[in-house]
Amino acid sequence: MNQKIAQDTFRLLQAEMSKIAGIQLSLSPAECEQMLSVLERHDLEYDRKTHLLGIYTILTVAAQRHMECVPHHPDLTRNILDGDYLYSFYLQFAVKCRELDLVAYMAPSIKKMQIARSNGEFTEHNPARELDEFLIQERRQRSRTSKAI
Amino acid sequence: MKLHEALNIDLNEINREIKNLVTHDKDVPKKSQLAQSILELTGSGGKRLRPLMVIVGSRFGLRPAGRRTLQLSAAAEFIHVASLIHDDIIDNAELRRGEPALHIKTGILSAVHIGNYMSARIIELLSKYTGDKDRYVHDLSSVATSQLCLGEYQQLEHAFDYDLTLEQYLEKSRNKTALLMATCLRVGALSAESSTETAQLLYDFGEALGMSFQIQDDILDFTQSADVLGKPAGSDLRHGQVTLPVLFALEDAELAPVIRRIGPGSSPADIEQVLELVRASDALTRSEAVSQDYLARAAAIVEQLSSFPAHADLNILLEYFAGRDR
Repeated sequence: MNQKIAQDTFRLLQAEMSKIAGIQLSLSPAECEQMLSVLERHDLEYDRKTHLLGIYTILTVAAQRHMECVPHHPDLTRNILDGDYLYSFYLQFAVKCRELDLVAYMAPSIKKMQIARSNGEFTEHNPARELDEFLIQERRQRSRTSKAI
Repeated sequence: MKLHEALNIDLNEINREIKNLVTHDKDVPKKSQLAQSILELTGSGGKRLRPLMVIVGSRFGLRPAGRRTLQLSAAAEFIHVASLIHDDIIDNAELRRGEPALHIKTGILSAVHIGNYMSARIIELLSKYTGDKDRYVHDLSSVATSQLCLGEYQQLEHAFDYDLTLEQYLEKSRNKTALLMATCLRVGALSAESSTETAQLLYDFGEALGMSFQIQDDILDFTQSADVLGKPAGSDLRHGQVTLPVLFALEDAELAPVIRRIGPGSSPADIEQVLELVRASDALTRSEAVSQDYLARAAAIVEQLSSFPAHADLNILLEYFAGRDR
């Protein structure tokens, strides 16, 4: 099941991304597992799981590409462009999947990561944890709303 | 008269909003390198073309421009400046507006993330508008920015490619420059609740204007001094950017072999020789004609919007773009 979600997600992302960018998205098994275990904990429709795994993948790879922007790196230009493209594609993809509440939730932590990294602090940023917290908050809000009704 | 004066736009208000994006961010220490760098870059006297376009767009709406329009105008400048920071790294440019480029001062990794902060700050600011009808607020950060990247990819792919076609050149220019300007006008209009038809016409106007702007920029690389450009003349050629004047010059059987010899290892003397040859050819005049053609297309769209009093502002933009220093 997990393998199918991952495959479907990557297929979806590759179809949505511009061919001009020519980016091949991939995650290590450990990175993938972090998000898959989050998705397992929440009762979500299959399509939404692929959307959330997609968002996680885009953000993870974007941050990785920009961390590889060091002097004399043979792919410096490519790394800058890939990171830039992926961050804008993240928003495009999230808007298309109607995940604007998630964008709003993630925005401060993504911004803080950029501040830290611009300052030479390379602490790990874990979008899976953020996504998990967002889904927990969303569930609580739904539960409150249904009780009120 | 300056452009913002002709348009009757309070530039100080826009400048304050741009400054506030950093100074009002509680996550950014005031004296930090990040804050200081951004304040220096955004305060260093740009023309604010894109913010002005957002404001002009809003004048085609049903409601007067409000806070959201002002935020979008500041966002347009932030996104533009963030892209310049990354462009300077890609182009290995040492100067920006006559001052050391940011990556020269902070190092590459830091500069990349300062640019990222600017983009992320805009997403944070605008993500409070979560309604379905508000989705357009993200167009600057999503669609327009990704088009900008695609233009850069195309530029990278076609570096020193003297077989580039006119269509490929135009598509690259559209992505790299014109569509951000088009989006500025469109989101400005939508922020004041214009009709989608009007917003689309403004988008088309901005695209035509942006194309003319990029072609003028390409011409300036041949005609302006390093002092005026803030970077050495012939930078495009040196970096392998096959611009419209080069494409036209390549049609000249005598010029083509000399141009085609220009590569990553060419000497300044080789570059200067080609600059001179292109200047002496009809390539700049022909490029100018294409630029004027785009302005004429933009003027035709203004006609369609003539029922709006603000169409006069579009004519002011047209005059400004037509009269850029050559």
